[in-house]
Amino acid sequence: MLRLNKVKKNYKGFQLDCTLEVQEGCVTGLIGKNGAGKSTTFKAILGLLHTDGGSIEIFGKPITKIGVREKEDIGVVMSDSGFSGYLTVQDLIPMLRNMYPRFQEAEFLRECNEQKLPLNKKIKEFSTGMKRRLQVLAALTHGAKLLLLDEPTAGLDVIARDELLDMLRTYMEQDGRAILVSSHISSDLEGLCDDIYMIDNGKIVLYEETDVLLDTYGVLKVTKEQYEKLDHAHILRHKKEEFGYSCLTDQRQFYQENYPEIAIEKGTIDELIMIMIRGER
Amino acid sequence: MMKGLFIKDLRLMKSQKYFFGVVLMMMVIFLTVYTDFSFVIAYITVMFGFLTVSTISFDEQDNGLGYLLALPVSRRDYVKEKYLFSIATAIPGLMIISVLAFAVSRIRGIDFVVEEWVMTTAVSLLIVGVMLSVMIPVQLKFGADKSRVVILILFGGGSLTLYAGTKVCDTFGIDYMSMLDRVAKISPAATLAGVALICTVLMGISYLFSRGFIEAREF
Repeated sequence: MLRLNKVKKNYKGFQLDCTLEVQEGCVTGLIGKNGAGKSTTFKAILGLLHTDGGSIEIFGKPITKIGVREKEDIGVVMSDSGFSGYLTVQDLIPMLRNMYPRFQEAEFLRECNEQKLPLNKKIKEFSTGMKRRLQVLAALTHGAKLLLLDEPTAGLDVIARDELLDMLRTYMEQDGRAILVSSHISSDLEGLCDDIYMIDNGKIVLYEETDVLLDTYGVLKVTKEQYEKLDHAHILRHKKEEFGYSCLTDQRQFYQENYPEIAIEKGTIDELIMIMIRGER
Repeated sequence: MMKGLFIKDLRLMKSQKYFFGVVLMMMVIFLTVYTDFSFVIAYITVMFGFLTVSTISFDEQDNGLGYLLALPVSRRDYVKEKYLFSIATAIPGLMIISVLAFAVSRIRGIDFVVEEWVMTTAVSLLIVGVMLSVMIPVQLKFGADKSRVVILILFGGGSLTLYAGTKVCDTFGIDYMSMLDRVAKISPAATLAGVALICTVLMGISYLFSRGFIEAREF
């Protein structure tokens, strides 16, 4: 569905160098702290930036060949922009109807009602969460094959986040679809994504299937002495702590079996990210 | 796709009720109080011209143009639509105010002969044509905020150049006034056709600049 190969974008003090792939039938997560390069990656995919190298393919076509017809099959949520604030939801309906041949107007209206999005209020008067929900609805109601969702849960409360994640799961029930979704709240992605890319300072620092990440990765909490005696073969990163070291491993079971005296935590994705990004090799 | 953009711009226009209210009020005041209908026609036409430029500002706000271009809209279609929309708003606007001004002049018994009327319409068309040809690409290149400064500089520079040109003509004894007189003697219909041609060429050149600017932009 989507393939980025060594996509580069240079800014002063920041360089994006991203390789990732989104397979059909998969929800792929892109996790990273603010400023890690998530939005730059999305903008590169959407052709909103001129890249300095590498290649991007959507639906098997290079991005330069992606025209209006292909864009009809993509649903987009952007983290830092949206529909003009001077329009109302009612104004958007004829616009979307004319932009997307498969726009599901009744479904869109039903969801707007359900999510309490006023039809005749200017979008600029919407809260951040309402604006985000509107973008998500527009992305979900035109039969898109690929969703590119940059921080779709930002500004949403816990319940709205949960509802949104449910909508995305329902969307994926149909064959031939895929989602690339980013968030800095990794718990959002834990239960949704099939695989996860972790991005830091413009580079992909980790790629793993979510199940593998949760089942085999772990955090060892060791004293300085324990750390020195440890087999470092499966330690990806270590981070100095007051008690000694936190170590990230992708072979939790190995250490559980061979070092029963060591405290080993399964670790949430947030913890894994933290050590992956802040830790040393 | 272009239809979707057109609808969006019409809806954006509709949201500008206060702007329309002010234009309508000015129109009524000018037509009932003023006797200089040439000014009225030019002023209202320019106001209609601003409509297109204002829709670009609304698109740009909060980086909205980036989102719009992530939808099934190509950069070229976006630019094309802006020019078509500007023509579709400025020309009817000019026609309405022209016809209205002519009719009111007859009702109020104001001396506003057909030749003057056609000439005024032609000059108004030229003004709005030049204005849009400059403002659309500048707005697309520099965005809403910076473009205000750029436009001020451009129009200031243009006025200065014109002033300097007249001084140079004076210095070298070039009689530019007689040249203008000759233009004024051309039949109104020919003037209107000539202006329409100049506007078409200007808009064409302007479109090419706008296309280049938007294709180079990042969002």
